[in-house]
Parts: sequence; C-alpha cells; structure tokens
Amino acid sequence: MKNLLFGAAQIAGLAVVVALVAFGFRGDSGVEQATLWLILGLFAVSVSLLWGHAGLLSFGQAAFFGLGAFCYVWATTDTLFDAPIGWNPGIFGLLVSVLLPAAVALAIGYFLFYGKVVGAYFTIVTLALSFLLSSLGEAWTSVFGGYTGIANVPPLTVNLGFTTISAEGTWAGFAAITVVLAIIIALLRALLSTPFGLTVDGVCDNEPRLQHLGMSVVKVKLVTFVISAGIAGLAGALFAAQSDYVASDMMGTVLSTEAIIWVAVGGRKSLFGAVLGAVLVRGVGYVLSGIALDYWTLFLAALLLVLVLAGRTGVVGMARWLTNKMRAGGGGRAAGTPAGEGADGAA
Amino acid sequence: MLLETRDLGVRWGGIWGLHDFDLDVEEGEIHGFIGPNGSGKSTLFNLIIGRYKPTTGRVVFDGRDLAGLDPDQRARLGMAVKFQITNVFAGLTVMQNLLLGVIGPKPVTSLIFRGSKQKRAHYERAEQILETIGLQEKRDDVAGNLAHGEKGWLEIGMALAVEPKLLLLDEPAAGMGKEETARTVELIHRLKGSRTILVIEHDMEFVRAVAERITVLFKGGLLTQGTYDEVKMDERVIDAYLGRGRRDVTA
Repeated sequence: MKNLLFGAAQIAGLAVVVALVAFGFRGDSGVEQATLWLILGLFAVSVSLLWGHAGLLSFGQAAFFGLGAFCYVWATTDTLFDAPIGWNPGIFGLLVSVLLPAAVALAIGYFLFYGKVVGAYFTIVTLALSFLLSSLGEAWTSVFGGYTGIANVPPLTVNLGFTTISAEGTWAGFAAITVVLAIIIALLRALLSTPFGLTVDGVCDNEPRLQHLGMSVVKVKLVTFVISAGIAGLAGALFAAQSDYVASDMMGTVLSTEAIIWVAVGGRKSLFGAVLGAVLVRGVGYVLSGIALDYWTLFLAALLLVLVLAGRTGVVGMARWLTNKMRAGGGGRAAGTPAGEGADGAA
Repeated sequence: MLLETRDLGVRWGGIWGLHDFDLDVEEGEIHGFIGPNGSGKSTLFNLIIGRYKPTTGRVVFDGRDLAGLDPDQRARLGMAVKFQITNVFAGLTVMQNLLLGVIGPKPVTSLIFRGSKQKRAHYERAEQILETIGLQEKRDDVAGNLAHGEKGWLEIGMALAVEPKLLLLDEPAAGMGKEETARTVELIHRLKGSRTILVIEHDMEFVRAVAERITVLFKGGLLTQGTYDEVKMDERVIDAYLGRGRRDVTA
C-alpha cells in the first residue's frame, strides 16, 4: 500500500512539473505537448518492461505502438472496421489497440521464442518487424494512409453522464492520461512483485540456469512480450486520440530507437525512470529547439552521451546513488554506485 | 531403475565426447563418476539434463525416454544439476536464487494468478534450504559477491529447492578448502536415502566418502564400475589415472 501511494505520488509529481513547464512556455496550448510527453512515457514503460526487466532488447516496439494508433483510427473513422453498436468508438478503439498488438506479439513471439531466437538475433528480427510494418503502411494507402498518413482523427470523448470529457488538448485529458499512466505502472509493479516477476528477473540474469531449474523460460518471455506489446499499443492509441494525425512512420525504426534512448536515459530497470526519460528527452528537446533552432539536436545528443556515459543506470540510478551517498555522509561508495548497479543490470 | 542410458554417445566433428555408454542407476543410490580430464564425465551429465543432444542412444529417466525433451521439461520430471563451473543468478540475492529454485518447476500461469497466495510457502521452503546449506548470514547478499565455495553451496541449494528425484553434482567440492569439503560431504550424507545422487569429483577421498558405486570413464567410454575398493585395485584404472610408466615404477 505504501509503495502504491509512493508510485502514484511519483507520477503525480512528475505530471505537475510537466504541466508547469508546458504551461510556462506555451500557456494553455502547451497542454497538448505535455499530454503527448506523458503518453510517450507510457510507451517507454513498455520498453522498460521488455528490455530493463526481461533483458529483451527490441527495436520493434514502435510497430506495436503504431499498430495501436491505427487501431484507434480504424475504430473511430470510416475505414477498416466500426465499433459495435452501443459502444463509444474511441473506447472500443483503445480496447482493440491493446488486443491486436498483443495478438500480433503472441504470434511473432511464439515462433521467435520457441524457435530459440535469442540475444542479438531477437533484436534484429524485431528491427525487421518495425521496418516491415512501416513499409507496409507506406504502400497500403487505403488502410494506413500511405505516405501522407491519416489526418482528422477524432478525439476521444467520454460521456460521464454529468459531463463530457474530451481528451484532446484539455487539462482534463492531461489529468486522465496521468491517472492511466499511474494505474498501469501500479499494475505492472504488482505483476513484477509476484513470483512471476522474479522469474522475469531470472530470465534477464541467467536464462539457461533458470531453464535447468524447470522454468519454461519461453513462456515467461512470451507473456512479458505480449503484455509489453499491449501497453505499447494502448500508448499508440492514446497518442492518436491526442494528436489527430497518424502516419505509418509511427510504426518505424526511428521511434523504436528513440524509445530505447528514453529508457536508457531514465534507467532501464525503473518503470518510473522510463517515463522520466521520455519526458526529459522530449521536453529538453522541445525547450532547446526554441532556444537554438539550428543546433538543438547537437545539444541533445551531447546530453544523451553524458547521461549514458556517466552512469549506465540512467537518471534514476544516479539519483539513487546520490541519495545513498548523502545518507552515508559522503563517504560510502559501498552501496549502489552507478557502475556497480550498471554491471548488475548488464549481467 | 531411476536412470538408464543405452548406447549413449555424442560426436562433435570427428571426436566422440562420449560413446556406447550404458549406465543403470537405482533409486536412492549415490553414484560417483571419476576419470581424467576430458574422459566424458561432464558430457554425460549434459546429455542427461538436455544441454547437449545425443548423436546415438537414449536416456531413460523414471521409465520415460527423454529424447527430444528440453532442459526445463527434464527438470520438471525431477532432475536438478549443480554445474562444474558454478552457475548462479549473479545479480540476484541468495534468497532470490533459492526462491527461483523453489518456483522453477511450477507452471508460469500459477505464478501469475496464484503466486501471491503461495508466496509465503515459497519463502518458508527457501528458508529451510538456506538453513540446510548454512548461508543464513548471507540471505540478502548478492550471489555474485559470494565466495567461491558459498556459490557452490548456493547452487546445490537451488538444485535441492527443485525437490528433484535425481541430483547431479558436477565437482561439488572444486575449489573448496578441507573444512568446506567436509561440510559438503556431510550435506550429501544427509541427503542419502531421500535423493538419488550422481556426483563427479576428482578428489578420491571425497568420492570414497560419499559414493556407494563408482563408474570410471576414460576417453569418452566406460572403463569399469564397482565399489571404491574394487575400482581402486583395477589395473586399467591405475593405468588411466597414473599412466603406464608410473605403474611400472610402483609395481
């Protein structure tokens, strides 16, 4: 319970800071950026689960994110399928955006994991998946909108009986996304604290050893992969609902790679760190692009290099290291040095 | 018969790591394996646990042919191993290592949906093992930071946590001092009767102290089998271990 409250407070605190920064720069119109950052934070959470916890480095995570976005578009516009009668098309879209990417992950993961595709080979196949889907999207104009993408995506509007919330460009929508983010992180933390969560750590640490103890590591990886894809899909749908424009490059390798950078910056073992990383990189990029239009990517790249070189555990790891150091009166390097934690994480 | 191998062999290129290997192990037996380096002892273990695929022959465990079964499926049938090169979860704590041993053979779905309810039972079982291997003090230490002998015990503990019918110990006393070795011998004695144990060891004193029956391997094949005293007097064993020239001197 205490952990649950702490987790909620973390997300709420971050959301307040994000809101203040966005409001400070752009006033009320900053809300759209702020919401998108948090949604990308949710996407980063899916990467942290897969890479940080299970040790599966995927360059195909955006395939699920983009697919989720298109699920929302298909459900809310007159394209591939319609929501069943009596359903809110947006809510139905969100549901499909979880289920379809999860099903795709199940099918692909089944062959990959049972086929014993591991390590770098797994990473390469996921890279190909992202590339394949985004190329397919560019070619298949009637379904994915081709090069131009699909514009005028309807916003998510929820009728609560007494009032109607529109999730696009409103502070209420921002608050709703914050709540969704907090709930999903809490659910994932609950999952990771079950014995199943320990097996996920075991897969990351020493997969063959776990297998020789009788654990079906293939199933552990498959479950993690499917959950991670479902979360990425949901994040994609929320993104589509928020940004009114969806294109097939949302399934592509650039976004996949960017998500890995966010998680590396935030600290890959930490779900909250993943959100922080996404918000930080996107936020700093946003601020820098306003200050130095020509050079901002240079600054951003330098910042990333420093962050990753200074401590492989990312911002969260460094913060932990600092607090440990302060508690030890500046003397103790014994517990939780960034290098030490990094080495553990890499094992 | 708990374990049988028939005509078991594995070939890498032109080299047979093990060949024509027949073995019978009774339930409850403690069976020792000796032989010079490269004689096929660890290869035999790896064929039993499914880390290597055999080129010829078969392994029958508890009446079931293990052909085509993955290591995790074999482990769930009731076998567990301590590897020659200590193999633990280096980044996890001692307790987490043991817990993974306890939950290792359990179905994944039960760990998600009924996991929290069973957590306590898992912990109790892991605590018992912790006591058995005498690492209570190191409960929350990261396994990678343990001393070599402690890692060996931890790995034996993980294997015990699986509650295997068959326990395979590949050099359980390697790198241990006299006192640590004695404790390991004592641990194996305590398991006698409740587990069937296969143990590879170079230390002849150790083998004599724990094993009822000994199989001697040489160049990937079975050389001889018997009690410690029988094996010790066998001329071929003396040849294999000490070399012919040496025997001429001692004779």
